[in-house]
Amino acid sequence: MSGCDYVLSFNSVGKSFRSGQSDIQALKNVSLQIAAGETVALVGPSGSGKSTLLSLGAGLELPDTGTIVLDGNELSSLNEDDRSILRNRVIGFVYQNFQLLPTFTALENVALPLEILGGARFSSIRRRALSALEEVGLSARIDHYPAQLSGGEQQRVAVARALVTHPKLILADEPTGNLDRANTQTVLSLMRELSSRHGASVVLVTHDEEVAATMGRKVQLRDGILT
Amino acid sequence: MNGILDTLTFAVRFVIRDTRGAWARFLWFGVLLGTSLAVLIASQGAVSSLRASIRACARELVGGDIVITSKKPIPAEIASRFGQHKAFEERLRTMVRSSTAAQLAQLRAVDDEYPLFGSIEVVPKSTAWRSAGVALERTLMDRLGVKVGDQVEVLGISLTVAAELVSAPGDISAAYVVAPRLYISRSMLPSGILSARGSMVDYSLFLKLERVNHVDETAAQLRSQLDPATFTVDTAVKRTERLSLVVSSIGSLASTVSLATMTLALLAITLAIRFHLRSKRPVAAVLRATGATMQQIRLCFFLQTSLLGVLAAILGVLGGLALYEVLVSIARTSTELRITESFDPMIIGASVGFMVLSLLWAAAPPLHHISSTSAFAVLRSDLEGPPQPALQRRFDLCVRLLSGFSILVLAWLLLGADKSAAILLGGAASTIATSVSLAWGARWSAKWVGEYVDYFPLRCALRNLHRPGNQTLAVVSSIALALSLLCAVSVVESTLGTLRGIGTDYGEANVFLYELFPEQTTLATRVIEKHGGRALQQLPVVLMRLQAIKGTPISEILRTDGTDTPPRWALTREYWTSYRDHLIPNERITGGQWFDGPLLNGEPVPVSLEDALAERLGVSIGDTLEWDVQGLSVLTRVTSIRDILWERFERNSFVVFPSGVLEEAPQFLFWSLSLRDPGARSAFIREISAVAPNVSVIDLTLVVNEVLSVLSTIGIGLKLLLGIIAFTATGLLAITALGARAERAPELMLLARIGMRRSIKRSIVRFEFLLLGVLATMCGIGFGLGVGWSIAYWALHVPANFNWLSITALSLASLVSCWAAGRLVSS
Repeated sequence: MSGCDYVLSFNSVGKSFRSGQSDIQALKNVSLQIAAGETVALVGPSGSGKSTLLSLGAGLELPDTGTIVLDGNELSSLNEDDRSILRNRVIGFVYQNFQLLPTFTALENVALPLEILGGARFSSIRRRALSALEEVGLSARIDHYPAQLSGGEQQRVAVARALVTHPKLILADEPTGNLDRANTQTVLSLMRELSSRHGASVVLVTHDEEVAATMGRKVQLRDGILT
Repeated sequence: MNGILDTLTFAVRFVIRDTRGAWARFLWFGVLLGTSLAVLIASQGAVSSLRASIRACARELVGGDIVITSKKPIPAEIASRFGQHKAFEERLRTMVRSSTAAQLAQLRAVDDEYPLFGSIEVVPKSTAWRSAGVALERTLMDRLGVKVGDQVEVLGISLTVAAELVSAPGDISAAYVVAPRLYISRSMLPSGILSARGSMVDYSLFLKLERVNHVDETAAQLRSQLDPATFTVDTAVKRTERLSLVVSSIGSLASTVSLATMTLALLAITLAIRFHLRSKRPVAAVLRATGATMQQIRLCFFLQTSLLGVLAAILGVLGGLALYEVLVSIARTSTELRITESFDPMIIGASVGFMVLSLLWAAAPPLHHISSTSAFAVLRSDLEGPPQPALQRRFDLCVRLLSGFSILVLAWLLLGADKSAAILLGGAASTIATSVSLAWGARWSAKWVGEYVDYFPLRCALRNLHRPGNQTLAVVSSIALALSLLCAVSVVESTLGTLRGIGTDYGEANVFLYELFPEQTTLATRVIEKHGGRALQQLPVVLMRLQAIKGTPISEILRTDGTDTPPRWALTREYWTSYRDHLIPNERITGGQWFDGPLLNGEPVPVSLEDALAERLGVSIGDTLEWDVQGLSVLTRVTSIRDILWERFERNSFVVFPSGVLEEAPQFLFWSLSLRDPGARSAFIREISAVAPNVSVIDLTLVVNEVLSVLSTIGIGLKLLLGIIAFTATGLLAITALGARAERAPELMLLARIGMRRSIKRSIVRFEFLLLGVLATMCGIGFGLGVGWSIAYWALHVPANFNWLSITALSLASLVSCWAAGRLVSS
């Protein structure tokens, strides 16, 4: 597989954080490639560097050493705004605690990435957001605020928001961590089905082996090192 | 271009959606800020309009282009130079009698040409009063119990009250509390009747120039021709400058109050924005995770802050214009001033600009912080975001200091860009700095005390006061500032209130007799005894003028124009001087020694001077002063300086001679009397003015009533001020409580998770807010008492009066409010 077939590529990436007077080495010489359409489960104990790897892949943080290439762009060579624009076009995020904006309705939350992207009339943005909500089965709850939705519904809104821009890569940080078994299954099948329909790759961080097993590949991270 | 439009569209949509979730809070912030802006706009607008109106009708206010005043008749050759363009006025304080009462009045005998500009407004509207009788001020008519058509007796002549005086050129009506005005045509008075009263009469010649731009030149010419010790030459502009100074002082006070209120509102908004933007860090993180650029995020929150500014500006401008109309109508009714100038729109621009700049000052650091915080860190954090790096804290401090400085400069410009504005702002800045320092000290003390407390909730509460990111400093300093303002205003109000006791508290004196000749003593004593009164104080008064200071003639000093030259009034006035060998209760020696030895022939006579006068004349112990005592020159040496408490209604003198010098000089007596029964008092005044027409009588109870009505107006103003400050302070506390509640929610949930009982959680928060209240109350009340005492001592020159009931109520209100805020946070 050639380099340009990878949607995301980590090459010898190292990252440390300052905590009080000492440095914590979160990632050590990590190399990992995510191919287009591939689904990867990132597993490991708490503090092993899973979320750090995800945020580096999204360009929210920059590595201390090594390079990260996202959709053919070396992230360290881009400025913060360019990384934001790239993130908007290429990545969809799903979080354990949903991270929906409380004063936005379900529709407005889903429309948010399209509005940030700009270049379209709101009627068109609304249509696409509505379609994304229909895909997750929430077309009847478009005007509800997050507080008026159940946990499972909130996560489905988050999934719709992640997919509304038809991203090449979905990064999911413990997306089922706050859900019961039934909702976990619903959300996972939705993510698999929709990502496959849109041809998106998925990198999913989880502690749950059952969840990890639903992904195409499993990558283990321990003390910042891929094993 | 499309990119910018998209960004803007996105930001506007974001602001609308984000704001609608908390519109009530947003509106509350707007009202809070708008109120302070309204006060600023209204006070600045009213002061500016007053100044402009004074400038515009300077000549109408004075009655001429140039005014020459003197205690001696104006030389005929001077008057004749101006042909028809002149008018005379003669003023004399004298008793006016009706069939039922007598009252001291200021008689103003004027030419038919007077005033050369403006007019004497009377009711009924006609000039017939000039030939029919006299025009009396309403107050005088009420005190005499007369109406238009009745007869009054002035200088022994019976005259008809032909009209009620509404307004006339000259001073404002508040100046005539003791002796209300009475206008009469000079032609109605027999010739020589006024000049017979000697130096009791003030002569004025009003001149109208054909070419206005010759005013200063003509005035200078007249000054060079007339003896400066005897004649004062003023121009209309110069005279109205003095009135403008009064307006400026009122304006400075109003501006200080509005700036203080705005400072409080800004503190509230700063806290609110800090809480708001801190709570928005996850929102900003989500925006960044979904691909929003820094510019987009900054624009969103900048627009939101600006929207708050726009809302406050609309409310402030509308409220300010309404309040301006109220202030102007009060000024119109209380100053006889024709305020025709419209509102200066620049004031709105400057005030709104000041508010917006201050708002951005409040928002800039948290805005910077929110956009630079790691989105990853925020999204992964359950409780609080990552701490602010030291470099960023320093940057924030620099931003705040710089913008704080620019706000001070703008405020200085708003206040008039002069020395007094700088002093006012310096005072305001020191007040804030002191509040912050006190809060800092209190916070540090809490940490120290916390080490010795065993009771867990109280120890936690004390610990909370100095933990990182806590609002202790902001809350304690702002509540302390509000409390100190409230407390200072309360002390001022209470001190002013003590004036209500005048005439009753001190020695029961309620009637003063002036200008009683020594040979009338027996007669006066008989009349006093007849009406059941008694004399409390009797002082001889000798009139004299300064001739030379330290050997330099007054006329020479008057021609110099140095900055250290004594004020003109101090050099040219007629001094009511007394002589005695003992000190009286309302004075004390602050320098030198009271007269203690025999007078030596050939040596200057020892005299005692009032301290403020000595300072104004630039003399100290050992310096010589030469006096013109009714034509006789007397050389004196200052041997003692006295501090006089003028507010006590005992008669005293700027200059006191020892016994044995002035006994043979022409003199009159001053008596203070006690006449408790109102009927007897009225009958006494009427009888004494009949048997001794030269005597001036002041019924202090009437004066007190007038003073009380002025004080009650000031009291309303002070209560309004208290209300605005209390409103802003309450808003500040409410914002703090709401912000703290939102911020504490996850923390309290965490405490519950680790097994802390609900009652303990509640106790910790309530103790914390109660402690905040205790610290703020201690700082605020302590500082406020100091400020109030200083205002009373240095500005009002009276001993401060502390209304402990109101101070206790303030303290309790502060503590209860903080306790209530604690309940709100813990609920």
